[in-house]
Amino acid sequence: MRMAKVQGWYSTVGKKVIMGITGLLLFSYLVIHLAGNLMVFIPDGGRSMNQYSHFLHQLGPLLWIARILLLAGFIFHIISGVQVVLRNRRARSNRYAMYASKGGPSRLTLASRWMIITGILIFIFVPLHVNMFTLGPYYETVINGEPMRDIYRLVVERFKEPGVVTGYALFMLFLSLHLSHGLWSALQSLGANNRRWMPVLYTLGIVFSVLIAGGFFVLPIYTYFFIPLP
Amino acid sequence: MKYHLRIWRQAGPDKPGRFEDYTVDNIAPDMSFLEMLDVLNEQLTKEGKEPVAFDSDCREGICGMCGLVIDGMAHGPRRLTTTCELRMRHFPDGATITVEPFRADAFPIIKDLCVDRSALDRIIQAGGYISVNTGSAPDANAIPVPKPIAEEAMDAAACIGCGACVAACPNASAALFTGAKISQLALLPQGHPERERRVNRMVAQMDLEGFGSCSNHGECEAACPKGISIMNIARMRREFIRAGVRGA
Amino acid sequence: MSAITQTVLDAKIPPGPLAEKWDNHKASVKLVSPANKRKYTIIVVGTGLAGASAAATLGELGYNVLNFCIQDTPRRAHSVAAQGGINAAKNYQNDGDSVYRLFYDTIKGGDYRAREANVYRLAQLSNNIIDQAVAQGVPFAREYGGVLANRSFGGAQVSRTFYARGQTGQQLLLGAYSALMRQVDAGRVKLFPRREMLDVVIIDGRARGIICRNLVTGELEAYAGDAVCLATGGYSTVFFLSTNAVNSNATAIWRAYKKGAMFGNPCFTQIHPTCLPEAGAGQSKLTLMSESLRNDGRVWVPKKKGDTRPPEQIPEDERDYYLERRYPAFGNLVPRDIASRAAKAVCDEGYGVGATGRAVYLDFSEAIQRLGVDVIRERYGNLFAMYHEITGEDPYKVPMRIYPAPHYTMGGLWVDYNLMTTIPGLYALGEANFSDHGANRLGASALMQGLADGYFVIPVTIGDFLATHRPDGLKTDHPAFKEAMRGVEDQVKRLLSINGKKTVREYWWELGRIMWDYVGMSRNEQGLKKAISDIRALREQYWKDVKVPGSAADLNKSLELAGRVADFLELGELMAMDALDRAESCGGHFREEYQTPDGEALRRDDEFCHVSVWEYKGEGNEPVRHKEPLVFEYAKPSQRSYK
Repeated sequence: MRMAKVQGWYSTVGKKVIMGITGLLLFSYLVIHLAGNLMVFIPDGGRSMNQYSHFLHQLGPLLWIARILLLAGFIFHIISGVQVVLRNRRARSNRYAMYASKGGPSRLTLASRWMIITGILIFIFVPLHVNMFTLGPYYETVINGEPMRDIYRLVVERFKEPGVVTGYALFMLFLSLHLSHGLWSALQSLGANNRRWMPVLYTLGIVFSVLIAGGFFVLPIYTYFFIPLP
Repeated sequence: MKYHLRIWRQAGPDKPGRFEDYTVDNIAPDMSFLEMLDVLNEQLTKEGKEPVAFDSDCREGICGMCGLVIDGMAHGPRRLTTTCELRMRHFPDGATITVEPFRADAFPIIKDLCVDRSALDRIIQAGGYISVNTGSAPDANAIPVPKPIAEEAMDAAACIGCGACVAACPNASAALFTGAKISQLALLPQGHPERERRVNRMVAQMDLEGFGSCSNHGECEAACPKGISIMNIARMRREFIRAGVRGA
Repeated sequence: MSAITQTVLDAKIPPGPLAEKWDNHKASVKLVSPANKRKYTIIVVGTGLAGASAAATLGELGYNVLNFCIQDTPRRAHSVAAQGGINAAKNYQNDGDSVYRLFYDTIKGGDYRAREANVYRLAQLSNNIIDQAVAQGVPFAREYGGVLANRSFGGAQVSRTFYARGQTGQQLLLGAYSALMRQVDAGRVKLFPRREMLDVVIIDGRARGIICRNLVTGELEAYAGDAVCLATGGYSTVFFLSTNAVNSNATAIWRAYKKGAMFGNPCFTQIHPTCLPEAGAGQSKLTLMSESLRNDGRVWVPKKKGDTRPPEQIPEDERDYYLERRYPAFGNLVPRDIASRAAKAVCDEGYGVGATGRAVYLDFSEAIQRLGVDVIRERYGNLFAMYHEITGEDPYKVPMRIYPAPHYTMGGLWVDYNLMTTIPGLYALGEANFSDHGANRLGASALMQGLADGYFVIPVTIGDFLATHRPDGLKTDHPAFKEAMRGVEDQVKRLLSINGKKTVREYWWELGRIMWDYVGMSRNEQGLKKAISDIRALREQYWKDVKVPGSAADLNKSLELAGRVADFLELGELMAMDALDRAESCGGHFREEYQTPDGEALRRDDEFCHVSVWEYKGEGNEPVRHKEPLVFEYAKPSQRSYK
């Protein structure tokens, strides 16, 4: 291995910094996304949700900058993640016949060990999701005299299909697992941690993972059972 | 007490390895795990077989030379304990115990349970020091160090270089070992003049050796016989980012 | 005794007043110019405090250094295990300490059997060591104001001990190791781990190289140089059970002895009183616990011989607090040698406790009652936890069982003021030499000596030698290397070919028993003579009946040990001979024939105020004892009393 390949952002520490930054970026997107989605719960027949969506689409170039940034973050997160995993596999080509965690301060969990698996599942989910909604059928509605996309209708329609609801909810479980290790891990990878904050950050990571993924999880199920088709 | 042992035997670095089964009897509960292996080796020698090669030296948990993976855990099931300090009373009579070497591609197996950990030396060589020639030091009290900082530096400096962190890490990462030394020297004012160069070089060397990347599992801290915290890994990353921002 | 005094050795002590000797010497030694230093190759064997600090410093000076160690990395040398601390005459506590006081305490602690000039230099250099270590980033304990903390230690009335928790040795070693690794990175020091030195190569009467075995491949390797420094530690493992590491050995210094380097005071060994006792067969080492335990613990044995009741069932009036009874003034706080001897005496009489009968109780129940369990936990928590982990017994509830254990050897290769042995170009540093501790070493002084030798003495004195011995590009194809290699090879082959019945370890254990029983804490003429004949018989049997499995062509720990035990079987005899020859009691050397009426050590300054220096005279011949007289101009000898 050449020296240049292990310095700066190419180093394992550098890659984790990239993963941390992009991870937090993707996480902040999830927060905004969820905030929009939760408008489904507002019983106004989708007015708020559609207006919010319309507002975002009117941002024009800003929207595209955000999209490109997100896509870049997504890609960098994935590339670094895959590189790290491949490296880790090479670092121990002869596995242990027996392996066990010692417990105590260890944060070794199903979530931490399955980051690549949950990551790949999310990677599969995202295009399906974009295809289903962003690139899905274009319904139109008029609110306050302004024509706009009726995304609310599309969402509710889709979430009336049991297969979609089940699949969506399942993916959200994976997302939750990914976040439960990923959130805290991102901060640790960026060095934003110390002895005093460690337990707080770790707990917050899990709380947020449950809140965010939980929000996304409840949404389709609630829609399926309680929201009538517009 | 009696134990059934499943021990990894490997004649040399490039030779194939396999588990072999042995039984040892009349083991006193106060014996250390290595003393139990001594008994096995005496037995094997008497039978005209080759004893199991394993490393150890001080046998009081400070030199860092010993290190076995016992039932899947580096240094065995007890926390804050090296293999040489681990007592047989923690294993039930008649138990079957699996013994493997520390496994990592950066730690090639030399023979049986002995591994080559010189990669750790090369990481230190890359910058785990303060460049001060003998004789050029100022008076020891010329640089005051606040007690909490000195204590924290000591926590990091307690590393015995056994490599259990690497052995226990699912990724075979040496981040805790490297982070502990970077941390110790970053905390102390004496270490500041070289901090950027140090972190860059040590991290690069760590990668060159073929260790895995840290995924923040924290298993290293659990396996560390000195309980060194993964907060030292966080500090290493801060030092790394700091060096990057300063363009060093 | 057949040994006869033939020569008086010259220690090359510089002239002038004691306090100016070292400075005068530094000002007068010959120097090697900076440009020429890289043309010299210096071999340093060992990477403990002395070896690592020497190799690093010589590298910094520009010499080409080859550094060897038996462990897989330099950082594991047994200096790492020193707990307590390191002395220095900084007088940061303003309690009246000074270089002179440290010098005086060390000379007195050594029972007037050390060289004044060396000890004074050691005291002077102690301050530089602390400066150097702090600059390297050694995390010594600090006060809240940020300045260095000190604590007091045995044998001194001032607080002069610097410490890093209970791991001072480790931290100082890591400091020296870091300096060493910096030189390795700079290409000035080449490191050879997992190598065992098996011979020193002498050409034209001068040390010119070493033969060592690559412990991984089994190959014998030869290395040539302009000087050789041995920093290979002490030989307490001759007792089998000791507080030393299982790989600590005497092979390097012993092979040097057999090549002509004389051995100083081989019988001076230190037995530490507060160690964990033997638990039974199969034990590989004895763990030392800080002496500070005796501040609050009371030592006792049952008054009835062979009393097997658990300690809590033995009523107060059936306990013998023998130290308090025999030494009412000092009680449990008598010096190391006295406490150790007393414990052995009661156990020998049959009062010992525990499964083996070789232990005494160290009881904290009274202190816990008086001070409360929290105070005791604060003071000794880590030691209690360690004891609990090892023995499975809770010392808060039942008394600890302790027993003395071999711990340090003051004897070693004889060196002059320049640390050079009697072979020109061969140096001995740290515990491997005999120099600074006399007949007993004070606590927190071993680290000081190792580092003083390596950081500050050898870099000056070796230049003086090298300046007059120009590099000649010696290569290892010189016949002397081939011959030395053949000798080593023959021994290795011989050991493997015996294929007898008993294992190396069994012989080692038997030797340890002899050493412990007759050449241990308390010695007498009859016992020493028995030890000599027993060791000879055992050695003979060893070479006929030992079983060494495996081959010489790869990593073979049994073979490594076999060579070391072969050397112990010779060294043990020399220790016994020296102990027999020294018909006095001093420091750690207690001859039962020479004691005051109340059982204290009786020094005989008129006859034995000298270093006994032994010269090897070939296999089967008696070694010859020479003398280096000790002259005390400043610290006048006096008798110790602790009643």
